[in-house]
Amino acid sequence: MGHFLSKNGYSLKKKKKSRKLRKKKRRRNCFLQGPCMLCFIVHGTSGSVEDDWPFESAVAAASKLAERYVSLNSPEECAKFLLSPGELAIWEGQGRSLLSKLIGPPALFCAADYSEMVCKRKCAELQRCTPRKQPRCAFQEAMENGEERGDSRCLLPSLPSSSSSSSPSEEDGSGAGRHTDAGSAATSSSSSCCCQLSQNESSEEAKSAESTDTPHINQLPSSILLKVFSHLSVKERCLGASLVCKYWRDLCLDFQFWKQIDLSGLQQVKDDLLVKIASRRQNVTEINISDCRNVQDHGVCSLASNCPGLIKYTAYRCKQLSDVSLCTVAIHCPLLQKVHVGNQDKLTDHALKLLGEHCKELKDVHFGQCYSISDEGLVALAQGCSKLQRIYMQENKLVTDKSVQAFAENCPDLQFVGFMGCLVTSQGVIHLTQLQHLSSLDLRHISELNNETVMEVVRKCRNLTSLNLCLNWTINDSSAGISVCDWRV
Amino acid sequence: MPTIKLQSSDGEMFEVDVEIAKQSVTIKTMLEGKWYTGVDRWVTPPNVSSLICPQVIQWCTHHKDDPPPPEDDENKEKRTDDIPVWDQEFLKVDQGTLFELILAANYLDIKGLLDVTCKTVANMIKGKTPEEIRKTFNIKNDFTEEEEAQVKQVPFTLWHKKK
Repeated sequence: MGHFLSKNGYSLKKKKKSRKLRKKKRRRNCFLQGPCMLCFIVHGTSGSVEDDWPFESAVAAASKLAERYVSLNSPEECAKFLLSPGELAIWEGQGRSLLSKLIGPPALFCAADYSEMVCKRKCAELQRCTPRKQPRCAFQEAMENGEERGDSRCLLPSLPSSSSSSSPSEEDGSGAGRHTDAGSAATSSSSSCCCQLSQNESSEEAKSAESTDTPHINQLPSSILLKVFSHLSVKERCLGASLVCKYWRDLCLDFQFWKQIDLSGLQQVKDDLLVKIASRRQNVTEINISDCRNVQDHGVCSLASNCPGLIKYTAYRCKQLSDVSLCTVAIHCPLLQKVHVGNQDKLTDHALKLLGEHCKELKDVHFGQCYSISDEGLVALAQGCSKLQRIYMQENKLVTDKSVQAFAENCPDLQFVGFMGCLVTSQGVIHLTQLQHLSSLDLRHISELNNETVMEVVRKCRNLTSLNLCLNWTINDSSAGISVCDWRV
Repeated sequence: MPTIKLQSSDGEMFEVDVEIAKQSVTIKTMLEGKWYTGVDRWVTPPNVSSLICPQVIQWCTHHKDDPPPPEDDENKEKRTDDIPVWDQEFLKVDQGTLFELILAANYLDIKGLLDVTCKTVANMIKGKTPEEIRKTFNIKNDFTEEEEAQVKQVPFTLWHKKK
């Protein structure tokens, strides 16, 4: 495999065939248990390394690397991700900053530091591996080259911190604490052994630094640290815990913390990030991309098609998104309960029809200022989603009494209803008296509303606690007065 | 009342009621399984010292009448301000002891104790800057300056997860 890492990337082409065989073999030895974007395992190769390696400019090369990196979406692909020394040099020169512009992760390639991190977790107990136990890797090549490269491109352990592996480690019987990580790592015969070779000096160091009898926090099993972090808010994790040390940063990346993703307001967020999140298949349940102006349909579609468990989708003011995004969300996410897409003026009735067809669990929708939406879409939505509890429309000039009637007749669970600024009149509003659970009604600035209708609604909807009738010029004090009395009754 | 003995890592024996000991799922499971039914039964949780053992027993004794803890609801917001006063006082110990309690609770699978100890540690992290956290727990900062700058500049949400 030495040839693989030859400094001249071009020579790889010749040996493609035999490499493929070796690639298979290596993969069998590979203990990589999951996506490990942070490490560049020098394993097999995708054939494309030498193919698209223009070497024209460092930036172009680095951006290619970045693209390839971003497109990784399975453990096998990660394992195949190859960086030759040439690529690595380029990456370190340009790629890092380039990637951070695209995606913005922190230090990606300092495997050296990773090994330190691992050491801090007291790998001292781990078995030492002979090189043969490791997949053939840069490490070995380095050894062959006689370089002291033990700490570069070291194979990173998949963190036993992931929830799935945490229980085995606890049932280990090797007991609590200090040795649990070692136990789990040793039993899974994975991970940390590889780092051992390069780690000895630093591990000795770490050991002596923390050699007191009292346990250090980083000696606790990672499952416990995860439990501790789960009690922190997202902000506290992001701004506090994850900045403490690399180990903590990695723990904070654990998938359990990223089911509800809030990217609102972040202009750096682009499609590639959503694609990446989607590729994790971590079954995101909530996503908020409000005000992310640089997200396009492609990113949302990727996310939707990979996250069938999506429950809440919030995307206010994403005017750049078209119908396609919401349609894809509707089709792929049958468990959807909340769709808040206010101010997406390209949305049409088609998306709403799809929501009505596919998302029977919908409870909460907000289509304020989606000017292209009309009765057709809303009626279809109402007929399809009988569990709706909250609907909010605002200034949708194509929405008339027909929609109000449809919701009143098809969605008995409605509690919060808003039709501010719509072409709604008393004819439509009167239907709302059917809604026994109605508690909040927003009828500001609708086309026409008379006192009698208001009184009737107040009388019939016994749970009504909030009624907003501003800017309805025909409503006068008499209805308000009677309304109050009715309430008291 | 039937008792069971806990043997600490340094050989000391501590006797405790079986009912109290059963708060530890580990012990409960052992008792329910095929078990040496002699009068003298003992469990040796590893790494639970003779200093920690009695504290664990004390906690379990105080909480023996507690209802079983609810299942962890992932979606429920996790609070840390609901640690009972007695537990707060009980956990006013040095870090080393606190971590040893965590480890003991972890091995013995005593959910309630593990919960309050983890919440206590979380409270020690809350509200602190990374530097303060490092000072509190004596953690070495292994970020390079460049990494630290990168980390701060980019919102954390953009990081990828390592499975």
